[in-house]
Amino acid sequence: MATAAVTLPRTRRRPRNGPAAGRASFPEFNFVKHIDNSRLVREVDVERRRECFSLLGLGVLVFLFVLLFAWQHFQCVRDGYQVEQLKTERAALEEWNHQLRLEQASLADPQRIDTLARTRLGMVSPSPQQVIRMGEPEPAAAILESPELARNFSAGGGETPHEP
Amino acid sequence: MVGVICLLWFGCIAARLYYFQVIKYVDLLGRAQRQQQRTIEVAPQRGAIYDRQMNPLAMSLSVESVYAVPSELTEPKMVATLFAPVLGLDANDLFGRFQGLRSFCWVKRKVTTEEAARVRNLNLKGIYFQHETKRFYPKGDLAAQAVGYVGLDDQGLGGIEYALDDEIKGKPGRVLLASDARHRTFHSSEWPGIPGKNVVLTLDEKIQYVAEKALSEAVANSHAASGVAIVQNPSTGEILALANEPTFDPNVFSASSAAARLDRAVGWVYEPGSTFKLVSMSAALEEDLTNPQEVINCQNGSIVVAGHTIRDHRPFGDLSVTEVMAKSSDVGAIKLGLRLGEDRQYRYIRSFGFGAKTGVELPGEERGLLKPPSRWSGISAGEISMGQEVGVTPLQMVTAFSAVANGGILFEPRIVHDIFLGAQHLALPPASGRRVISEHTAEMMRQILAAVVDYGTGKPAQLTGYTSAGKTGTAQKIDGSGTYSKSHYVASFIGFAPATRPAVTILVVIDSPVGAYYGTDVAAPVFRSIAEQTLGYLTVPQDNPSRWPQVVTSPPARAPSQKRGDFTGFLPSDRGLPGAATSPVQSASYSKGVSPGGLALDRPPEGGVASSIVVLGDGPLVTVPDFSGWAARRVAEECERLGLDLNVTGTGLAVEQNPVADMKVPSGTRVWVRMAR
Repeated sequence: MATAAVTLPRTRRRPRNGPAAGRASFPEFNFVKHIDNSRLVREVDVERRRECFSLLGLGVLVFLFVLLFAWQHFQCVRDGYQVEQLKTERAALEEWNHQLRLEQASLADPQRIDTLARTRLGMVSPSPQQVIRMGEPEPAAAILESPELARNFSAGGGETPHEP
Repeated sequence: MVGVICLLWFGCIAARLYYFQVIKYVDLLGRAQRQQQRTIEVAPQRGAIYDRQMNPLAMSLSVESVYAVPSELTEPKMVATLFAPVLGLDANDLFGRFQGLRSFCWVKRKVTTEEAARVRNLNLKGIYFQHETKRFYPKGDLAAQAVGYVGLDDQGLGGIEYALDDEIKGKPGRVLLASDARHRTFHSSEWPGIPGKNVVLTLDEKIQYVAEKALSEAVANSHAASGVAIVQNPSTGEILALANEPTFDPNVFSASSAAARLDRAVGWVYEPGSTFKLVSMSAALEEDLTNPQEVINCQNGSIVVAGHTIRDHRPFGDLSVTEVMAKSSDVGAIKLGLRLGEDRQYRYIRSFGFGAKTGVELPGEERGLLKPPSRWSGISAGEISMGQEVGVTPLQMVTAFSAVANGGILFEPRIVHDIFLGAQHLALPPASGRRVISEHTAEMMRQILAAVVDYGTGKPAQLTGYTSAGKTGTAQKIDGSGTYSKSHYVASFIGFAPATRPAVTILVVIDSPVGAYYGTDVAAPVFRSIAEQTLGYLTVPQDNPSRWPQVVTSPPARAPSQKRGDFTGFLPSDRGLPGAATSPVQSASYSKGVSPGGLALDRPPEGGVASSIVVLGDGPLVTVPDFSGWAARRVAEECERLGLDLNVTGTGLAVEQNPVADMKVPSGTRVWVRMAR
């Protein structure tokens, strides 16, 4: 440690709180003390450092956990909005599908088709002799279940004596 | 000091926190949930109704209803004034409702998309939307009485909608919605309801349309009060069409009258008249009290029963039993009825299903009117045998005729084909029936009824290409004074076709026609129209060559590539469309005579084809092969190869042809081939 005294330069103007003119002025000495701690070596406290890091790590972990929780929560809310929006969209599409099916059914109304065929296309109803079918009957014939049913009924189930 | 202040501050906060989070927790949670969450009931999707080809006849769509919370309306008067023109409401009425209610008030239910958009654009506070379902009937008035209609709350009010309401309507679900301050939903929990089951009817919309159209024209032409037509499959009892006139549009059922909504097929009782002779004659034949050839003296059209004189519509002398039916002699029928006796006649009437509900799945079915023999008067047996003093429903009548058509089994009529939800199908009982007459009796009755059409009162019911059988009926109605009216009649025709192997039984009843009132004139032509179109649609093979039209080809012979034109010949030739050059009918009309250079040939009598002319044009001669036992495809290929024009009828293997095998004919000649089925 060294101490040095230095003389400050005389000032031209009198300082505001300085001695009034005519009075003797004393030189001021300021001492500067140079402290050199370079030779000092701080002793590492491993235990404290570990505690510190642990605490810091825990804090970061808690912070991250809270962050994660918050993110998850807000993401959940955000996803909730999105899910609801998609649900609404799906419902709207399903409804549109129903509407289209209804429209299709309306357009396939036999009366409408008949009117269009007669008025717009000038078609007429075919007479039976104009309808010529080749090959196997069309599926519409499936409507007519076997006319043999009545006979089978009596044959299979035994001909019940008529009630009258 | 600062530390103490901080400690106090934290202590206050902690205390407040404890107060809110622990002490007031339940209360505040409830309040928050009430503000954020709301549970709404989701109306169940009502099941659709289809015809047997799965064409939708009724289906539901989601629509919006507008409601208000009057307490939230800042200016109810202004809101009512704004809504009135937008929704077509009365402003004063709406304002009155706002005043009378506080927490909930319907503004308008089931609004259209456009109306909902207009209301939404107004963006008014206190106005909300609620999703509901609305019933739509895409085919309008088609089968309206059978399908039915629903009320504002989707409850079935008529037809199948009413009869199967429990199956169709389903059960409502609930949705819990969590919304933020801006009413945006961010979470929802669903408790789905049970959607209604779908119903498939036995009706076929094409046959239904054919029946409705023919009936509507007949009712309009005869200026009748009403009419009903039923098409039934005699082999199963399934109803293929059920037409009523007048009818209504179930989409706007409130605009129709109760008379229009009445399903006359099951809810209307009428005196059947001569069509009821089917029962008395079947009974007499079954009991061996007569046979079709027995001659009955019809006493010049008059008979006295219990002091009452009953007259035929015109005097008849001796008639066979078949002729009694064909000429519709009341005297002959009464004599057969008297032979039966009261008890036996009554038992047969009950056995044919009269005086009891048929069990069809339609609401409002009537039993009809049938007194027990103990309450019969002396004249009753005679009157009932000719179709008076007895009340029946059209469905009972068509079912009785179906029993004769199918060989003697009375099937329970059915209109519900299937009930399903997804892949689950409800087990419906199979067609059930009971024998009412023997097969032999049924066969005799079929021949008798065929005679009615062949040369009796049912001539207008003769079909082109098909045999048919049936019975006309003209019954006087009872007027207000309780006596038979001289001006109001019920004209009917009930029959089946083809007569040999019936595919359909058809009933046509016209109530109170003006002018011509006989079933022969009013109802039989409707039967013909419905039968011809229905049989063609069902691809039933034609079985009556004697009524086939003249099959004629006109010279010059057409190239094979042009012959397909006949197969698409539904368009009138004046349209000038390719492929529609000449239809067989048009050919027949202008080639009836012998064309230049042509050769006229009569059809061979063994084919049963009388007075038909085939005109053959010039061209190289080819030998007609023997098509017996050939499939239609092979016949077509061979005719194509030889340059012959082909007219095939029926399906299966060839059993008959014209010209006959080995005959040399010019190329381009039309060859007619009948297949086995």
